Amino acid sequence: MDAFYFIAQQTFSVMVPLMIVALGGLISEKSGVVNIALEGIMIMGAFVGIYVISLLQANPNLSPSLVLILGIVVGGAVGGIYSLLHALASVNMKANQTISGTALNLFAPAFAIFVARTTIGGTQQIGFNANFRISEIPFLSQIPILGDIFFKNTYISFYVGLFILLLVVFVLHRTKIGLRIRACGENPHAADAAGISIAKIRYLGVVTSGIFAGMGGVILIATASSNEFNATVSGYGFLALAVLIFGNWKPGRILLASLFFGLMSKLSAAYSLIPFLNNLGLPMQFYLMIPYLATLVVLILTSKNSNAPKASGEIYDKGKR
Amino acid sequence: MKPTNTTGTSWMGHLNRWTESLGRWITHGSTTRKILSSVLSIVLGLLFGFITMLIVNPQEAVEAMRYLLFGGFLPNNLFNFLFYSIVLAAPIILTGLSVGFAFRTGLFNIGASGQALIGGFVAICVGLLVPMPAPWHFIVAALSGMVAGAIWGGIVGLLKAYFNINEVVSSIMLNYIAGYLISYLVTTPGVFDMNRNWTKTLPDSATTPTLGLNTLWPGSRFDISIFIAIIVAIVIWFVLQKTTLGFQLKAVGFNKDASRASGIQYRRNVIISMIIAGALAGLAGSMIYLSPRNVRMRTTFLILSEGFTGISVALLGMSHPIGIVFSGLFISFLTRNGSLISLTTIAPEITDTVIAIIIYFSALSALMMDVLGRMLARIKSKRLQSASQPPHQEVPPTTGGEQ
Repeated sequence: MDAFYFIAQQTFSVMVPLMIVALGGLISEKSGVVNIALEGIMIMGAFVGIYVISLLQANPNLSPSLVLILGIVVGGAVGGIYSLLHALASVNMKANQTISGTALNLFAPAFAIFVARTTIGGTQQIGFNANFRISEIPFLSQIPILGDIFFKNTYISFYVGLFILLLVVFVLHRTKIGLRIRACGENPHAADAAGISIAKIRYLGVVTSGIFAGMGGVILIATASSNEFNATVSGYGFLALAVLIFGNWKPGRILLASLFFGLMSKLSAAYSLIPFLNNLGLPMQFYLMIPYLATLVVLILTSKNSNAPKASGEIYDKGKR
Repeated sequence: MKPTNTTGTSWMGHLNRWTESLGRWITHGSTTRKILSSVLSIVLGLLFGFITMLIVNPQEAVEAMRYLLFGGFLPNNLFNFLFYSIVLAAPIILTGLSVGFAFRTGLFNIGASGQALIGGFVAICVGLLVPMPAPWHFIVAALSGMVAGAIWGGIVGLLKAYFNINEVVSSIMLNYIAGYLISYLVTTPGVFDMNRNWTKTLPDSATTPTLGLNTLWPGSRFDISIFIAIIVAIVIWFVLQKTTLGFQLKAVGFNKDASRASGIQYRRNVIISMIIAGALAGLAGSMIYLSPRNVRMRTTFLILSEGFTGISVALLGMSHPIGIVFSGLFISFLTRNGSLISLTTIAPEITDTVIAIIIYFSALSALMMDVLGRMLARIKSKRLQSASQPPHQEVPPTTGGEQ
């Protein structure tokens, strides 16, 4: 049972950032802009967020969870600002969204290494103290089973992730602005005719996705990796795109999809704890491959019934009917 | 023709639509305007890089910029930097051709890294395990790498054609799978040198021929890979421009539904496109690892940077094979010169930053081409006015007056 709890807690540490980033991608696509730049935005958010965390940790009086929250907020802000470049290109400049996104992906790691090496200490790694784990939450941790899974050895970011999930569900499906976002992704011409500003809504969508991706980047590095940031998020931005597709553009299914990918990616780290897997004697590299192989297999199996926004990825042209 | 499920209703239809729009985007606009907009992107990218350096380190920014632009032209560096950047351009021209060819056929091959890695590994294996006489050994090894890359790229094509899986997602996944696969396979007995912890030294018969180019000047590391890259670029240009296959592949990239309506087989063409793109990347891998400079493979997980540089090369070269040769040479030159920046306290990664900014501006090229077009029209109208002093305005006033 302890191994089960351990794997559940490990899984959550990957699930939460993946889910937040995928939800960001969801909002952006719902508004009609494909955001392939999630990877780069995560790197940018993680770079500044983790740097701020490493600075704040110099003060021992701050509680680790507070430091993590501040880092997440900074990462989100940076991600939002960085994504403005993508919004500017794809909304105002009518640029190809793939190329603009690729440029953001290329820029982020180069810029992070450049700034880190030029101004911060001369090395590209940013070290921090990964001490954000909350051993248990009073009272709630006493609930049988659920307390062990959700309220012991957890991170504050876990609850941030759940809050964002609920927020996205509520805003997209229960508010006027959510209806407008969806309208812009499904039928921008009708939305335009109804007096909605396509440009404003798409800016909102892209910047929200940038904020979420920035937050996700910080959370991923702070909770699911070792204790340094090395200008990469190991393709998790692209995995988040796969989660979004696997989740069929629905928040609830995105939660399940990211849970699945979280489990797959932690299998590679924890396979030695599971006697059955450990006895197979497969090389370590095979387990490391699993999240990426699983992505392909799952995409092959679920290649029907799309719920994708119809106008996503297309430049809005007023004259086109 | 078989009915397919790849149109609007299917689940990845929309994701695929935006990569298809690439084909249209890349092919519109006249050549002059394309070249001008690439040059403008380069100038703006360099300008922004200079400003960034001025902000972080105003004392050394000018010196770093001088290295970046002219470092290779300094008499002492002529051989080591200017000429060496030509040698190093071959792999990124080939990955650039891979990405650019896919662009032209409406696909975004972000997986050139994995294809090149697989290709490079197979080339090394043939080089080490299959003894052969001199000219053939290299040819067979390089071609095997090409075939391996073609298979790795073909998987992406199959997944797209039959399961409608977006090639961006699948090829990224395959990059990671290739990285881990190779880090395991590299320890194969006969290939791996246990003592040095890297692959064994290739026999001379398997390395890229130098044809005496390595004796042109002391320390020359020239081999024929750059000529191979240029010949391949010409072949790709010919295939795209002069053959029925090329026309069909481009037609699918330009408008999938219209080409299907005219009897072009969509699935077959997607797979062929990705096989060719993969083959080009695989050949890039062969050129990297068969180089007489003894580039080794190690057990560390690797995503070859040449694959991603290839994206920059293709975009800057506007996906035209000849443009890609020039943009590959330029980016190689910039990268090689950029390494001189480490003589200052500014980090040489500024070069990658500059390249990324150049790509961002080339994404804005639709708008930049508009601006350029207006500027050209204004210059032309002025020239007309000064040449003939026409009695009445020949050019509509909007081209001259605005902005």
